[in-house]
Formats: sequence, C-alpha cells, structure tokens
Amino acid sequence: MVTRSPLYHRSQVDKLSLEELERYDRQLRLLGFDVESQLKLKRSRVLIVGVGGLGSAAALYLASAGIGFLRIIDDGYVELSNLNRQILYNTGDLGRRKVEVAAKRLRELNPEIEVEALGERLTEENVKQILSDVDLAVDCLDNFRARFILNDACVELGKPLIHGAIYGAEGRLMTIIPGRGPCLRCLIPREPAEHDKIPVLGPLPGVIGALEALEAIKVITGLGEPAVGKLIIIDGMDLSFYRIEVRRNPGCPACGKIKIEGI
Amino acid sequence: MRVKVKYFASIRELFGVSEEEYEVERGVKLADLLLNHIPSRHAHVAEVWRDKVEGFMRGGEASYIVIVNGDRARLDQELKDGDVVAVLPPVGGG
Repeated sequence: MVTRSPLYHRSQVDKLSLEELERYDRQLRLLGFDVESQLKLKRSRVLIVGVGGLGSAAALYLASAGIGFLRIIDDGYVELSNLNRQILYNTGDLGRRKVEVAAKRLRELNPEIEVEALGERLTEENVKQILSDVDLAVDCLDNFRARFILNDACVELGKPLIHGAIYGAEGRLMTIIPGRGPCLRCLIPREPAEHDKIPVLGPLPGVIGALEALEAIKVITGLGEPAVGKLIIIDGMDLSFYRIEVRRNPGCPACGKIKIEGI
Repeated sequence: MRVKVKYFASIRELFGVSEEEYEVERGVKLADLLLNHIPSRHAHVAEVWRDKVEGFMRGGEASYIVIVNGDRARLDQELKDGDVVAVLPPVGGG
C-alpha cells in the first residue's frame, strides 16, 4: 500500500522558497548549517522502519527538519496501550493503520516534504527493494529479528543506519556507517531472546527517537560527529549517560568482509 | 574493598535492584564478581543469571556489555576499590 501526499509537488531541489527559508530559519542560524545543508536535507531520502515510540519522535523531527522524502514502514494498528509513548497518534486514531495516520500527520506538519507510507512488515524478501532508493535508514523497530534483517541489508547496500532501542527507562543509540565502523552484529552477535511486552516509560523512546533524527541530520549534512563506533547508553532513572567504544568484529558475518574506508 | 554494581534493563528486573555494593577481596577479577559473588547473592535466580551472561563469559562474543567506570571491561580485569561495574543486556524495544 503506497499513499502519496496530494499536497506534494516536486519543488525545486536547488533552492529554497521564501516559505522554506522561514520554516527552517532557526536551524539555518546554526553555526555550520547553511542553505546548502538545508538543500542536502531537502534532496535526501530517508527510510524510517517502525513508527512506534522511537519512530514517532524520529519521524516528527525528520519531517520538521525538512527531509525531502520520508518512507515509513510499519504493519501495526493504533492500540490504546501505544499512547503512553507513540506521540504521532491520538485517542481518536485507535484501530487505524499507523502508517496512514502517521503520514497524514507528517504531511500536515510539513507540506514541503513527500511522505510514503508502507503498511507492511520489513522482511528478507522486501528489504533491499525498500532500501534501494533511500540514502539512509533509521531503526525504530521493536524486535531484533527485523533489526538484523535491516542491518544486514544496510551493510550490503552501503547505507548508513541509525540504531536506536529502549527498555524501561533506558535507551541505546549507535550510528552505523558500513565500512567506517561496527555494525549491529558487531555489537550484538547473537539474536537475543525477545520479550513480547516490555516496560517503557514514554519519554525514553522520545529521547532516543529524537537523537536518531539528530544523527540522521548530521550524517546527511556532514554536521558534527556522528556516533560511529560509539554506543550511547542513557539510564533515565538517574540520568547517567555512557558513551562506550564499539569495535568492528573482523569475523562479523555481516560487515567482516567490508574494507575499512581509506585502507 | 567495595565495588558498586549497576544492573540495566531485564537484569534490573531479574534481581529486583538497580544497583548494589559488594565487599570483595583485593585483586578480585571481573569474572569472579560476575560468576561467583553476584550469583551467590542472588541464588534463587543464579541459573538464569549464568545463562544470561553466558555469551559474555565466553569472551568476545558478548551480546552483554559490561563496563567498569565507563569503559568496556575485560573479564580478566582486576577490580579496584570504588569501581563501578555496569551490566547491560541487549535491549530491543522501540
């Protein structure tokens, strides 16, 4: 199922309209971020896998930042127990397909961008096609099985992947640039046991999803230093932040054969 | 000497505490703490714990991450008085 915004018109990608200059005014004032940075965002195509807790925050910030094309994929429907954390949805959306509600909301937030909604599950069969025409993917998934499918395809196709995950009041983040740093399988070699309904305090996926959007913006624009080879851990209970080094595993089944950039 | 151990995610729930202190002999290695001190205090879930940290115990193949004072730790690392050990299982929620 693909739906496109009726508002979307293929506006020029080599300049910004007066409305866009005003919409993005505050980020254009940022040191190191100029019109060319904004045009990079406008020309960029980003895949968000999962529009739950992480995906809600990531999608809202990426849409508002002006990513030109957002593809969102999720096969879920809005449930009452989603609403403590999945801020794309309202109580009136219960029972509706998440990607449809999300796409409408994101287009309303920013009519300058294109949003494509895929109401399906990411699988080994469809992942490469779904990734083929995007520049970067954001992992907002809720299970390791799909995360590994996404990781392996991103590594194979050379697409940057922003990994985020949460549990309770804890969050994790790592930016994966194939060839430049470790991938998800270097960090987690074996698929861990899954828990069906995990505890989540709503602000945590909000924080991590927002940081995933930040990392995506940095990778696309070249701003700052993305968390490549660094696992960011946030413990919401005492607000401890850890940033630990993660090395590439030379025997990694996913990325072990990729040459290191510059060598 | 005393070391502090912080547990994350599902381990926090398994033990029912987020952090605790251990009185250990000088020169104790991280592996001793993980394999002996911690499971003997949490005897009722010791098997579950050992099973969960198995990957880390094999060395290298770590889906678990153990950090000491903010840096990734080695199993044969000697602990010092006041060290803070953090045990992080993989988390997959979204």
